[in-house]
Amino acid sequence: MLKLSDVHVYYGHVHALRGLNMTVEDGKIVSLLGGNGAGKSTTLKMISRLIQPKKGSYEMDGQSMLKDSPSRVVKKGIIHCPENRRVFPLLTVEENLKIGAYSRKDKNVKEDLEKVFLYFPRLKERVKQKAGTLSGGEQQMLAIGRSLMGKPKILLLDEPSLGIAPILVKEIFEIIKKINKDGTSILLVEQNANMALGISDYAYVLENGHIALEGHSQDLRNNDEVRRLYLGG
Amino acid sequence: MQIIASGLIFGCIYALAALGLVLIFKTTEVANFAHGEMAMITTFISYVFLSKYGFPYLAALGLALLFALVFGIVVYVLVMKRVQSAPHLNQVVLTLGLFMIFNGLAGLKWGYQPTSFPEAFHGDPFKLGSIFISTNEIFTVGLTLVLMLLFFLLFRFTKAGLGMRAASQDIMASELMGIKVSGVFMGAWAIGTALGGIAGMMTAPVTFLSPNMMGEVLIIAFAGAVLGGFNSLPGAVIGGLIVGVFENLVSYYVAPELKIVFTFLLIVVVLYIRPQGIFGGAKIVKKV
Repeated sequence: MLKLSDVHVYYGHVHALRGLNMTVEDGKIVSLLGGNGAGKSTTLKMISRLIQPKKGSYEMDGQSMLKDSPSRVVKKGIIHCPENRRVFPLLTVEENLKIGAYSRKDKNVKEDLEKVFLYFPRLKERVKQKAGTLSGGEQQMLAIGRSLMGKPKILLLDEPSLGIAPILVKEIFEIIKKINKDGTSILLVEQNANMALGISDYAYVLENGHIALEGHSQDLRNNDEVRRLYLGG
Repeated sequence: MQIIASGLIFGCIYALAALGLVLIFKTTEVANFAHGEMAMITTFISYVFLSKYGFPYLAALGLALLFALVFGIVVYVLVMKRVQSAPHLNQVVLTLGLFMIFNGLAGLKWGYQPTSFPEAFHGDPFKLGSIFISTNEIFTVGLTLVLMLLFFLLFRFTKAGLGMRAASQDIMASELMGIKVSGVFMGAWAIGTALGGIAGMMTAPVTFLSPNMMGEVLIIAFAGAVLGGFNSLPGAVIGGLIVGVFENLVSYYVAPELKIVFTFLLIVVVLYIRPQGIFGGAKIVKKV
């Protein structure tokens, strides 16, 4: 279980997160919604330790993570699949996936490669191709596959639907559900609130750096305010 | 033929120096202006092993390279790492400062009087086909080829090499995949400095050993690196070789004094036609 309490993050003088509280329980999909600049990506970066909070606590299974480096966080099974996919364009699909397993010491990388190909058969067809030549949707699949290679307990997904054809978005969301069923908790950051609420168990709505609203995804879908602000009526 | 062959031999030295520059630039995005001076210090250290302790050449070379690896790490950890989050231009200016410091320190310690530096192998040039070549020159070319092969294998087939290639493309994504970026940077500085050191030891028999010996070599290595695209390792090597040959042709057919002028003229022309350099691919736009 991942738990953030009263987290404050500053960028210079900008107070980006103002007392954030949230929990990701084991086995669940939790979505984090909100408009541009609400602090969604900042929250993920703080969790993966790219950003240091000024105040607050951050625990994974009861242990504080605030002393850990980004690579330690990866070793502990919290893996952040960043916004805009950020695959390594000049490396092949296979090399990208191997990078995902970089912090692992065990020898089962080959097996896990096959597991990723089961989720994303398209990647197997393109295994020797440079990642930069893939379509946006394929790159997103590769980015998720790369994160899976690190054996996440919790997968942090930052806007997996961004700039991707709607038909592929559907496919990717189905796969996210499958990954979750197979035992990985997911923290999903999305602008596409409709899709996110459709697959998640619980959701938080972030506004100006703090949680404005939270609840079971089903309830939020029926909440008038959420419908007006995020679901387009 | 002879002019081209000699050019290629000196081009190997430029290629080694350029390779070190590009390696550091590719991973850390800092153009290291102190590269030549760090090479010069490494060369002085090898000279100390050679003359003061009487080590055989290859042993001195090995020890000096070991020194260069550590030297690179020390410069990174003590200086560059602290300013890693500063704008790149500031970091580059800092390397200019290091240039001055190393040059001054070497001058204080060893003086500015040029001293002769031995070659790896002695012996007169002999005829190979239609060109004259000495054992030492064969050694230079051979060493360059071996190092390049080693590099290729390292980058292509090892986990550390994969990590370096990833870090040079996207630092943040690499960190998120669990790569220790400061470790990769440290490796780049260590290996880059060692490559420069080898270039220094190859240069010293020709230019004599002095604190200013690497000035011109560094400028030309930069030129070769830019010619090759500055973020391509094979580009650095080929750029270095082209500059070496071109420079030798100019020395022979025009005038030795004008070789630098013409070399830069060549670069202006190449960049005019191909602004990204010969091997520089399309720039990867980083989204923050």
